[in-house]
Amino acid sequence: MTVPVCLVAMPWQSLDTPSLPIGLLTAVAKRAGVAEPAAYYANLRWAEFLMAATGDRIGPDQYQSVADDGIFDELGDWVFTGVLHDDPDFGVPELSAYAAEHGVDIATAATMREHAAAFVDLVTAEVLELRPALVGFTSTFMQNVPSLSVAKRLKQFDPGIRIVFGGGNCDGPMGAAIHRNYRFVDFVVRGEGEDAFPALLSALASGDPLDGVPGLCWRRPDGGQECNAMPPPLPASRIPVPDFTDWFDRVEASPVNEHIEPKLTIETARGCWWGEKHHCTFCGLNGTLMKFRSKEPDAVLAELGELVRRHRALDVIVVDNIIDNSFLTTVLPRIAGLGWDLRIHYEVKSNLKPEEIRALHDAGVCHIQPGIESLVKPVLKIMEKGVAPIRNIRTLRDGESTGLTVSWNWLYGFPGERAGDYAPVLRQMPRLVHLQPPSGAARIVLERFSPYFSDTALGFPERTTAKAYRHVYDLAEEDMRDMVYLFDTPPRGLTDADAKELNDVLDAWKAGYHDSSLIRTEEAGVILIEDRRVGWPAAGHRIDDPALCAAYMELEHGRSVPALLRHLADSGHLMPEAELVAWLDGLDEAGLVYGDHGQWIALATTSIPVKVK
Amino acid sequence: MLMQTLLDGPGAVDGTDLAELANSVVVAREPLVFGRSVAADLDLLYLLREATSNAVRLRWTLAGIPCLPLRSHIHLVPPSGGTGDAAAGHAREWAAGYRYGACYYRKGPGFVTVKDVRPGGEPVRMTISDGAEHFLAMARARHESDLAAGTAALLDTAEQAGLLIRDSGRLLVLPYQIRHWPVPYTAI
Repeated sequence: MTVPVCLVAMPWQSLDTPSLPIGLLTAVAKRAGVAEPAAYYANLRWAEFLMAATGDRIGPDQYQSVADDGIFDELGDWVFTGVLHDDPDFGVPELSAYAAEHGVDIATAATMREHAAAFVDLVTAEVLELRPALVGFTSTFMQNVPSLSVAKRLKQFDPGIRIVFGGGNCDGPMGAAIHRNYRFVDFVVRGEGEDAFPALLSALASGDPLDGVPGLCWRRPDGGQECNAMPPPLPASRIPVPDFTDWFDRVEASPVNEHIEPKLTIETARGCWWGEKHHCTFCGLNGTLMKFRSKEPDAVLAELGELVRRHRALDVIVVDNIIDNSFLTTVLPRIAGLGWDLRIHYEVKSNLKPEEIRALHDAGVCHIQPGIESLVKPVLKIMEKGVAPIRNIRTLRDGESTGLTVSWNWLYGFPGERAGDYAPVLRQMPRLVHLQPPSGAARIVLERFSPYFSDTALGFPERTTAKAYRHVYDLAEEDMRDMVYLFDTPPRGLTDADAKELNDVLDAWKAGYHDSSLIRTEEAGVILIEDRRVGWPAAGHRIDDPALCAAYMELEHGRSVPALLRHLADSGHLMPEAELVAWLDGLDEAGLVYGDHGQWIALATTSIPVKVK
Repeated sequence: MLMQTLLDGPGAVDGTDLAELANSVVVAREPLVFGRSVAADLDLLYLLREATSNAVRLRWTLAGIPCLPLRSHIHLVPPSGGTGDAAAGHAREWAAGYRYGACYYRKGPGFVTVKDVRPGGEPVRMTISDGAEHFLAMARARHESDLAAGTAALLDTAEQAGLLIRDSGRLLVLPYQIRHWPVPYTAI
């Protein structure tokens, strides 16, 4: 006997990718023979609903702006919170006050909210038409309140239907708290669902006890909560190939399809190998599952080929939190050898060597997120990033040379951070204007599962659930504390005035990037550097002395003066230190190098990517 | 080599593999002369298509006016100027409408995707599954005689789909193979 199951992806799942959790759970349920789950993509339905209701005034672009930009202000949850609480005005005055205080534009979210109740009724009716006995919601970031809203309605219409929640929002204590706070949620799966989901379906079908379902929160007949122990990390070899058939069929028939380009999501690894060694102090993204596990290269190639062939999609979002560095020499060259015009996103560590960046490019990786969070050495040390500013700049430079889009974001507000450490960085930042700037700068927030959260001695002993949750949940602080991911703390590190100075410099960087270039070419043993950076005089520089040419090439790695002298001597170029330092001073004056704590790195790229505004 | 067709023209661009010139500036010393015939224009557009595909920053000057409507080549690297008022005007219009990534194709296993968002027409996104290998053969070819019979038989279909132009035995598939993504990669 199998259980009729419907798996639901509520807003604010991205519109252009299928839900990986639904794809994985569908695959494991089919493989175990316990269900053929129906996938219900309420996120697509919401975009379609808004388009129809507003005459296309609100469409996929507006949906995506809330999905991408609304997380820290909880805008996506707020859109649905009036429905969850059966109160059209719930959270409205609170958000208005919050928006005024924080300068948040809520106009789009407010317009969307007018349609939320009708939409939840529609989703409820359409899910019930599928006649499921169990409805599963996968919830990450702002999917909690939309999912709870529909779950509550489903229970009202059919009290016999069973509701299960899973996903990132249910990790560890958060899942238990959701289960405790919302009694219409029958089950919550905490941790990875590959074993738990089929086990739950089997138990429900057979009537077996639920205490054997890994990580499951459930209720005894007397209503008391039971939380089974969370499962150990799933070996990578047991992570299935996701089944995205429902989504690709669904999106092809949707008017949303005109506005997006469907992309594949795949995972080649889970966990974070760096975090296992040195957990970045602010990062909670891996939740309870830090242990790094990666698939075998053959399995990665097979999965990529299978999904690309099946869905005829060449855009691939790899969802790993960090690439397995061995893939740079095993998987990537084999992908390059396929000769497909892929467009791949990968998250990497920022200390990549030039040949590794080239390997990424050749395999079709055109977007990397290298976890560059700062260029200030003492701050990087406080973060436990395990990388020096010079390495971050090298990655920015070589990414630019290779034509990779390099996404990064500046973080500040760390305990022990000093404004004085920023001074040499701010002074030199204008010379980086030809490299890709950060998307912005933001004060860190306290994330559950991060070292800052776990260890109050690291600098954030005072914390309350983030203020943004006040316009979303009707829960007391003690009920909310275990359920949410973000916490407010007194500010640390840079003051707001210090941060403004940083932001002003970054704004100038962003404004000047598109029209800037600093390019190095070689011609008959001579190095030529053409400077066309915004804010710098147009100039050409010529290095023709063989020793200085060798010195310049060494500087591309990032060297101290003693190391530079040593490398030059090793290659047969003996040069007095004073002469070398004088030459380096000239490069510094012209902004051709960047200096940090005695290390220097050359800044010119070897080519200019196509830049599109 | 592709550029050898221009040996009698811009001598700065000859005999070099365009892939090696990716993201670099190449200057054509002499103007490219359009408007002598459709077939001759197709030869020049083939050069521009491959330069665009390889992200070569070809700096060139337009002489004459192409025989084909601007929409047929507005997605290809535009001239930086023109010789004479008419050519200069056409060059300005071309450059104003040019946007990298406006019409390209991508090769996958057993299929080809085409994206065409050139101005002056409805945006098109299509996947060619049946006959992808024929499309790729057409994209490589410069003359109908280069094609096997099975592929040549599909030329009418490809032409009607707006994928290629042909004249006097010459042919040009309009979309270029995208080999370099811009920064940011989502811009196209």
